[in-house]
Amino acid sequence: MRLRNLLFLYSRRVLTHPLQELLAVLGIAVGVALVFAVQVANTSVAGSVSQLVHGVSGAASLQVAARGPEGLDDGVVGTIARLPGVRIAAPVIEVRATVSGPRGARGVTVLGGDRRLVSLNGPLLKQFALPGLRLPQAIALPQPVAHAIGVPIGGEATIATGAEPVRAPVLGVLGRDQIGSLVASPIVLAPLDYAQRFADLRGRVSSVLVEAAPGAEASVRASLVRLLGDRANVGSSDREAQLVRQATSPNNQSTALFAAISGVVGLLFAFNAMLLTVPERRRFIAALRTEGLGDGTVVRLVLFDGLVLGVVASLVGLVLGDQLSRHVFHATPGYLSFAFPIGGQRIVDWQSVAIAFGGGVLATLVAALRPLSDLASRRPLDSALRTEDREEDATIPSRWALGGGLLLTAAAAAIPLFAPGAMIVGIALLVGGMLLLTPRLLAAALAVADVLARRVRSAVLLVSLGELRSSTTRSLALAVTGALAVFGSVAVEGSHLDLQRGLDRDAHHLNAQADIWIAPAGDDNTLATTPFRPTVAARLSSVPGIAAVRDYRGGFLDVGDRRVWVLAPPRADPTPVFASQVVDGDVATAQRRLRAGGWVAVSQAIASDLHVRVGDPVTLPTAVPTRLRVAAVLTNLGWTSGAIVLNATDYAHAWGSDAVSAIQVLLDPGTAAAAAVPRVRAAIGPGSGLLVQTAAEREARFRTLSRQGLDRLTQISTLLLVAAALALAAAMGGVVWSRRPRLATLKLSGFSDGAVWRALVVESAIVLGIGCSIGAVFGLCGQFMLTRWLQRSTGFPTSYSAAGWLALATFVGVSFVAVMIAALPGWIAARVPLTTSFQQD
Amino acid sequence: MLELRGVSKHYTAPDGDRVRAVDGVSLTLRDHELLALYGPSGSGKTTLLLLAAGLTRPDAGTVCFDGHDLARLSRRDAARHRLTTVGFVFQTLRLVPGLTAIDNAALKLMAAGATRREARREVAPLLERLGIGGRADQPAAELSVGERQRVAIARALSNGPRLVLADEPTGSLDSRRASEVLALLAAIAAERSIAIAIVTHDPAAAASATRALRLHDGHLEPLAAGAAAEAVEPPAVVPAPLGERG
Repeated sequence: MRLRNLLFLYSRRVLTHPLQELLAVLGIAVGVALVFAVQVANTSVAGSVSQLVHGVSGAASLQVAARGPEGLDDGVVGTIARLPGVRIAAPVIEVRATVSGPRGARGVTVLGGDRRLVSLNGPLLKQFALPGLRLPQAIALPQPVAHAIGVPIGGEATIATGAEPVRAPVLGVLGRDQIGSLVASPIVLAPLDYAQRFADLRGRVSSVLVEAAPGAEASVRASLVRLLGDRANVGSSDREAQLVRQATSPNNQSTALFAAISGVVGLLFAFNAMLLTVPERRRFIAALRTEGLGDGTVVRLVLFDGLVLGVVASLVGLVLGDQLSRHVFHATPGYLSFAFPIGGQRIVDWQSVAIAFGGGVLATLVAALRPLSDLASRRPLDSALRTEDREEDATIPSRWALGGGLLLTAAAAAIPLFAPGAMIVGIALLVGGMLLLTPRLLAAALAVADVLARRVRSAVLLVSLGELRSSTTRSLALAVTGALAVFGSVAVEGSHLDLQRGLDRDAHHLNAQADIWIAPAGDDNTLATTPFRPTVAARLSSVPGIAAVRDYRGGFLDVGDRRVWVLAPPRADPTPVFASQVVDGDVATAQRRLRAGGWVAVSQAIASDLHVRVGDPVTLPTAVPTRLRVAAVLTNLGWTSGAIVLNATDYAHAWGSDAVSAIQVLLDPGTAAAAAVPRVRAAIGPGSGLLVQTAAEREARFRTLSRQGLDRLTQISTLLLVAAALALAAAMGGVVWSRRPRLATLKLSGFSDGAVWRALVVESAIVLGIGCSIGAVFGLCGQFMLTRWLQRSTGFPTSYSAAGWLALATFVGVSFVAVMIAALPGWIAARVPLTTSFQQD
Repeated sequence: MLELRGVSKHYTAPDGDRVRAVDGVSLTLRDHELLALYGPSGSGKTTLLLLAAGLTRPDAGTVCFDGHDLARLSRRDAARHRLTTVGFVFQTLRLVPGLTAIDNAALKLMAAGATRREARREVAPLLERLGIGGRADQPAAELSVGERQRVAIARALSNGPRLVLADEPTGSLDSRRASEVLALLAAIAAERSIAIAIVTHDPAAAASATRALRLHDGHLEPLAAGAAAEAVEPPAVVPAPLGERG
C-alpha cells in the first residue's frame, strides 16, 4: 500500500476516534516528558561543574590539589614550574564562601588566580585581563550573583569564608557576552593575593593547574606524584567534574529510576488508551486482510500507525519536558552545593533528546503491535468474523494469564529474599504480575458484586454490572489504568517517604548531640564543613547556663573518585554513630572504639572501594596520611558520595590543623536553648561571621535542605498522580461517549436520564475501585522493593514503613477524582436522544 | 472455476458438543453463474461461504479454484488470491466508519497499490450504478443500513473479481431495492463473466438466482423450482435488534 494511502487511512482513524488518540498521545507525552526533564536536570548539575572546570583550567591538563582546606605551601608552585616538561604552573585559591549585599546572600566558590592562570587561556579567566581586576583588592561577580545580592559595579560585597568576613569592592560584573553560559555559575573571581588574604590562606594555595608540553603529560604526572604524591592529590585537571559526576550518580540513578517508572506508567496509559480502540483496529485490519492485504502490508500499516503516534507524542513530550525542566525541575540540589560549584546552567545534550524521544517512539511501537498478534493465529481471519460481543469475550483472561501472573508475582516476592541485587528486575516482575492478574481479579470482583447486586435488587447496579461484563476489554483497560496509576504513586511516593524518614532520623541524631551549635554562617556550611579558628570558645566559659563547650571538626575529603563527608565529633561524644546508621559491625563496640581513637567508621561504598571490612586497617589520604582501623560500616548518612566518622582529635592529627568547623555547646539541665542563644551571641560578639543555632533550628535547616534534594521525587510522584487522574478521566469520558447508542437503548427500555447517569457513575466507581485497590495492594509491595533498592544501590539511610494511609488516600483520591470527572460526560451522555439507539457504527 | 469436493467443517460448541456446520458437501460453481445458497439460520450457509473463499480450512475434503487447492496456497498466495480474484460482501458489512462511502468502496484498490484518486475514479461508476452515487462523500457511519450494504457490494466488485461471495447481500434492503441489487448482480455476472454465490434466507432472493441450493443441517440438496418461494421463512427485511450493529 502506498505511503499516502497509509497516511490517509491513519488520518481518518484519528478523526474517528480523536479522544482515544489524544489520550494515547498524552500518555506517551507524559512519559517522555518526565524522562526528558529528569535527564536534562541531571545532565545540567554535572555539566555546570564541568563547564566551570574547563572555563578555569583552559590548556592545563593536570592538577595538584590540596587534601584539606588549609591548602599547600605556595612555594610548591615554583618547584612544579621547574619540573621538566612543565610549561605553566598556575596557583589557584578555591574556597567555598558566602557573598552578601543589601539584597541577600549567595553561596559561591571563590576563585583566586594570577596572570599564570590567565595564560592557560580558560574562557572564564580571560576576565582577569580586565583593567579593574589588575587592582590588588577587588572582585568580579557573574551578573546573576551581583543582581541577587544587589551589588552593582563599584559597590561593596561582604565575603565570608569561615575567617572574619571582609568587605570587597566589586570592580567587575560579568555578563553572558563575556563568559557565556558560565554566567550561571555561582563564583567570585579575585586576584590570587587578595583571595589568599580574605580566605586566611596567606602563603597557601588550594591547587596548582599544570600545562605540560606536548607529549610530556605522562612524565610530568609521574614527576608530580613523586614530588607530592603523599601530601596532595595529583590528577587530571577535570578531577572536580569527575567527583561531581560520582556525587550526583546515586541521586541521578534514583531520580532516573523514579522517572522511568513514571514514564513506563505513562506509556502504559497510552497502551490502555490504544486497548480501547483495539477491537475496532483489529476488525479494520482483519477486513483488509480478508480483502487480500498481505501480512507484510499489515505489519507496515500497524507500524506506520505506531510510528506516527510515537513521533507526534514524543515531540509533544519533548516540548512538555523542556517546560518541566525550566519551571519545575530547575532547582539545583542544594546539598551538593556544599561541596561543588554547581551552577544554574540548563544543559540539553543530544543523548537526553535521543533517550527520551527514541524511548517514546519505541514504546509506542511495542504498544501498537497488539493487533499483529492476529497474524500468528491459526485462524487469522477470525476477528473479521466475530460479532463485537464475542470479540470482547476473547479478551477474558485465560488460565495462561492467571498462571503467568501468579508466577511473576511469586518471582517478584522471592527477589528480596534470594537476589536483593536484582530489585529492579523484581519491580518489573511485580508490575508484569499485576497486569496479568488484574483481568482475573476484576472478573472475580465482578462475580462477587453480582451476588451482592441480586440481594439489593437495584436495577441500576444490575445494569452497571451487565455493562461491565459485556465490555470486558474496556472494563479491563480502565481497571488496569487505575491499577497502574495507584501502583506508581504508592510505590514512588511511599519509598520517597521512607527515604525522607531515614534522612530526618539521621538529621535528628546528628544535631541532637549538642544544645547549641556555633559555626560559620551560610547555607553552604549546613554540614559544618568550613574550618575556622576557635578563638571565641574561651569567651563562652563565663556564660551562665553552659555546662560544656566542645570542638567539632568536619569537612570533605577526596577518597578515590569520591568527595567524602567527614564527621569528627568530640571524643567526649558518647554516640559518634547510631544503630540506624550502622550497616556492619557492633554499635556499642564501634562507639567505644571511635571515642578511644585510632578507629574510623566508613560508608558501605567507601569500604567497598577500599576493599576493607570491620577491623581492617585503612590509610586515609589526608594531608598527613593516617593509618586507622575500621570500627563499623555505615550508610552514607544522606551524603551521596559516602561519609567517614572519626573523633575530632584524630581529625586534627590527620589534617594537621587545629581549626574546628563547629563549636558544640552543652547547657546545664533546666537551661532552655532558646534562652541561652542570645547570651552566646553576645559573648562571641558581632562581626565574627559565626552563626549560633539551637539544635532544633539546625535540624530544621537540615530537613529543609534534604527535602530540596528530594524535590524531584516529590514532583515526579505528584505529576504521576495528575497524569493518572487525567488519563482515567479521559478514558472514562471516551468509553462513556462511545456507548451512547447503548445508553439510548436503555432509555428505550424505560430508564430515566437520571437512572442511566447513575448506572454510568456506579459502573465507573466499580471498575475504578477494583483497579485502584489492586494498584494499592501491589503498590505497597512496590514501595518495599523500591525502598530496599534505594538503600542498597545508593547507600541512603531509609526507614521502611508500609504506606498504608498513603495507599488508602491515593486509592480513594484517584478513584473519587476520576469518577467525579467521568460523571460530567456521563451526565451529558445520559441525555442522548432515543433515536441514537438506531445508529450503526 | 470453483469446486468443493466432500467438504466438511465441524465446530465445538461451548458445551463441548461437536457441531457439524458443513458435512460432506460437494459443489461446482461456473462462470456467469449466480448461485443462491438458501437455508434457515444455523444451517451452515455462512460456513460454506467461508470455505469457498478459503477464509477457513475444511476438516475434510478440498476447495479448489481453477484446479488449485486453496488449503495448499501459501499465506502470500492466498492473500493475492483474495486481493485479485475474489470479492466479499459480509453480513456485518465491515465498513470503516471514519471513511466516506466512496473511500470504503475504493479501499481494496488502495490496498492493491492504486492511489486514492485512481481508486475513487474506478469505483465512482459502480456507486452510481448501485444508486448511491449521490451519497459517495458521506461518512459510512451516516449511511443507512441499505446504503452501507450497497457500498459493501461496490467494494466487493471494485477489483474486478472472478468470484464474488456475498453473505445476505439483500438482508437489509426493502423488497424493491433487493430486487434491483439482485438484478444488478446477475447482470454483472453475465457482463463480466464472473461467478457469484450468495447466501440468503430470503426466498425471493433464492428464486432470482440462476441456480439455488438448499442447505440443511450441513447437507446440500437441490432446491426445486418454486420451492423457495413457497418455503416458510422469516420476512426479507429483518430489523436489527435495538442497539446492535448492522
